[in-house]
Amino acid sequence: MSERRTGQTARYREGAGYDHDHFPYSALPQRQPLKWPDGARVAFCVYLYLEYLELDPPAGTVRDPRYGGALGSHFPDYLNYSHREYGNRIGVFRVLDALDRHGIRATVAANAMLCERYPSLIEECTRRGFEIAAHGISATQMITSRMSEEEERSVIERSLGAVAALTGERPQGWFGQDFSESERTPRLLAEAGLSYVADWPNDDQPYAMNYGRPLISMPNQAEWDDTQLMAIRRVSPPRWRDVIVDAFDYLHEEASPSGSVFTLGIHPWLAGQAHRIRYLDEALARIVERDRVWQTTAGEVADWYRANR
Amino acid sequence: MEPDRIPFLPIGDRPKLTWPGGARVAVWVLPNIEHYEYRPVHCNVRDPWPRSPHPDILGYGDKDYGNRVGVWRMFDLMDKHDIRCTVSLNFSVIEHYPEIFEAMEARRYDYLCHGIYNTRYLWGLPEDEERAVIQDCVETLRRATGRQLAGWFGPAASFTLNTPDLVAEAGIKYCSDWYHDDQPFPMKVRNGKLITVPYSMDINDAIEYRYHTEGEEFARMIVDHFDTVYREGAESGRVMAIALHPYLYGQPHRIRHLDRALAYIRKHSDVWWATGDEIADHYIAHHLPEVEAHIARRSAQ
Repeated sequence: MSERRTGQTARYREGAGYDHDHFPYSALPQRQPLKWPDGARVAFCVYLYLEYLELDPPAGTVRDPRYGGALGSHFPDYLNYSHREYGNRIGVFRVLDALDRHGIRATVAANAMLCERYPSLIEECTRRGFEIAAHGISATQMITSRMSEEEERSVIERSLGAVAALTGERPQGWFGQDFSESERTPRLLAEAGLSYVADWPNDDQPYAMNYGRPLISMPNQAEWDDTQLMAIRRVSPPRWRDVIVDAFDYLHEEASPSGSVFTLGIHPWLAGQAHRIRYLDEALARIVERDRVWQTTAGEVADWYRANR
Repeated sequence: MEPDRIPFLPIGDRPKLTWPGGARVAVWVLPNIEHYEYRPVHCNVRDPWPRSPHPDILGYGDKDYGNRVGVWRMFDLMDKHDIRCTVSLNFSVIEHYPEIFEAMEARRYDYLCHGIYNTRYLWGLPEDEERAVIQDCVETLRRATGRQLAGWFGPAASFTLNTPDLVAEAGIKYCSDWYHDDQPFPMKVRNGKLITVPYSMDINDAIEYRYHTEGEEFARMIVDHFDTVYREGAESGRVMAIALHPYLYGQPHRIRHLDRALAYIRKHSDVWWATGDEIADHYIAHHLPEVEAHIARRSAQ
């Protein structure tokens, strides 16, 4: 059989399993129930993206083409550049107010150029007890298989170093720009000593990757991330709020007794706009009124999972 | 030459179509269970991951959610509504995901073959290569279940001008690559016989996902579509396909909306909850000769 399977009919492997070695397949009903501290049903993490987007990125940079916006992205792209800067100057403070109002401790994905240019924004976060994770160099620079291993290592090191220079400690977490990885990224992240990576939108629970101590893949639910829903798919802000609440309620009520993670990705340039902030606030209000919610950071969930799985 | 696969016969000019038990609508529910390759090797015509150099772990991870998580929620939902699905299946899933295959077999689900991988398109394939793909699928199902493949729906909705001929040649009864009708209908092929059974690119979550609608609106579409074909089905039977993807409607924010829509249809009598194979068999046994004769009379006029 196998020798006839060539060309279009060739399988990537014989028998069961994935076409990569980063982690094994895991069918939801075959897992042991996941138990969170104090009987919580859901671990709730806010992923706050603080990003600098270069106006003049280096040659060869790969940028997610979906973010051109309604008018496209052409050089020099003052439109998209300044739109992002709105987030760093105005939007982020609206978002921080909303998080404060609901007593939420966020996990910040901060890119290196933002740390280097706007350290005061990181200070706003550290003084609130937020976790600061690394997030690449600039929002224009995805990690891709076009990079050499050496280039990719240097991107990871600069990203980790920029956060560490402000917080005094090496970050525990990694968020690739726009969910980007090469085939070697998870291994390189484990070798860099990271505790978790939040690049894979394939689960509502953490899982161990086949690298390091192990490196934990933390859920990153792209489905209701503000950029995926509102910048790309142009779902209305009130509907965004409904989607968040529907998803949270399902995981809180029906996915129990096994614990889930609920992550909410927020970009201040988008969710911090004056017409959207109200819906973020309303969604957070609905979530925090629930009982048995472990509102925490990605790093704490990853540590707990590694110790108790 | 312009292909002439489906003789023109508008809905009002056909013999009455009846379903078992006098049902007005045959409803078939089609989860698409798929594998998208991490590093596709045979990308012809379309790039499955146009966002960046491969791999694209956002695209891959979204789809993987369906196989790890979403499909299990969808199976539970279908069990709750006692629905036997017709799975539009990438046949590599039979081998790579034995847990999913066993769960489908335990539920006696029917399979509509959706090629091998959803990242290998038929576009532009020479006839012998396309024939080999179809044949591989026929053999894969026979080896796994002993059954003959009944239905064909090209991987990621990809086709060639030869597809209907090659599908019929492989002994497959029906094809769901065409969206021209609310009823099954004969399709002209080189040799043998083939009918179409209506799949949907309208009541299809993956199509809606490309735009700005969410669960609330999709559930409304399902209900509105059903109301119309249920009313029309009193005159002559209709088919309603509900095309789903576990990576989309197994998501926590959407599954309740699907639940609500299915519950609405479930409340109605005169609905035949059928599989593709059952719809095809009923049509071939009870209607195809009459429709073929009707077409022959019309073309002789």
